[in-house]
Amino acid sequence: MLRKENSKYGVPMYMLHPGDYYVTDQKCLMGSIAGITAVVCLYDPGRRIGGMGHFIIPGTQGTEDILFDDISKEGILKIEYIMGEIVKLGGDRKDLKAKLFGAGSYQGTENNPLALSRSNITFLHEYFRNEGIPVIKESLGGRYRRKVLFSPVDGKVFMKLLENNMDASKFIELEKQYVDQVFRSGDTYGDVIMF
Amino acid sequence: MHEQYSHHFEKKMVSINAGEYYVSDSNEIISTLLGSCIAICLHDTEKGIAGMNHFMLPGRVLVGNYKLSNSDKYGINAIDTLLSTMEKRGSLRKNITAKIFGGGSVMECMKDSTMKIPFDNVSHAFMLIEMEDIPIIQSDTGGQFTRKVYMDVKSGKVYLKKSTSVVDIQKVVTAEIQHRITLPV
Repeated sequence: MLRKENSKYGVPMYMLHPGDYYVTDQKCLMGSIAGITAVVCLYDPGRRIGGMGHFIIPGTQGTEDILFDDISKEGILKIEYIMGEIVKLGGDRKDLKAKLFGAGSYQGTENNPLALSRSNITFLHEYFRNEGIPVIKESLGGRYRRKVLFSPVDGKVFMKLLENNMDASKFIELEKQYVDQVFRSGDTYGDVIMF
Repeated sequence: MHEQYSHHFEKKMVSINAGEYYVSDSNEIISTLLGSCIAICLHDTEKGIAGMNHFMLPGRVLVGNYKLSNSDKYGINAIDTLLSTMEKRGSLRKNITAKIFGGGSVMECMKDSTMKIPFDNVSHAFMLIEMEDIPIIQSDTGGQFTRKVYMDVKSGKVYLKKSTSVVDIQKVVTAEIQHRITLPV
């Protein structure tokens, strides 16, 4: 995560790497670029607290419910972290609102980007339906990179579909590293060993 | 920063040091000497305005680290100042293209994994330019070279000279260490 002290918007700006999350009640902007990963913005408009997370579900969803699926725990965990931080700062889970971005089938990130993108979108929709959190705005899927700027205190989001730097994208490279790391760490949980 | 007349290019040449930046719209050359630092060369193709900065991060910035470190602010502000100065001179954001150079592992201690400052420098430069949505048309980073960069303001052409000679490396390393000492971390 990077911090920009004096950005052109007049408030400090935080730039999130893939895999990061950040929650605050200060006036600031959080920004990130999402290719195949999903960016979730959660905020409590009454208490002026908000947070942003940048993560991926490593693998394709089964036909079962997401609560019984093994691979969705990565996403559930990350969203729970954000919610926990919001509650710590004095927010209420009942008043939360969500905005969802990313999960594009961006070429060059994965062998089968379309399946991964679809399963991420399914997960996000199903999760927020189960939790009962209203999704105010969403922009998911498609063959894009999205730049997202999020203002946590009022929940405003500025989004741009990026066209330049299709080949030399550092964010996509970092995303690849992150996806690899998540895929690998999924194997290490394993079964319970009795001794 | 100092000015001199270059007999090779037959133009005025402005050399910048670490931590400085220079924006110009007259017919001249901007040059710098890079080790592990980064130079971002921005050029406005319509109006012939060009700018170059020379920055470095004083320490590692860890990816995935939840705590914020102080080491990142210099590079970020360096790019912001350069862009805003160019916009003040009258160039439009959509005409600006970027070239990125530098990030060589010149010091011995930087080659091991715990001190990958050049690597961080490069990835930061790329990410920040990408965040501003400026097309990166050319880049030459990494390796174990020192680089001399000469940028022609009017045409935007960049002349690059890589060197592995000990004298050049010594010169860069002393300059970088001196610059790093002056940074308040």
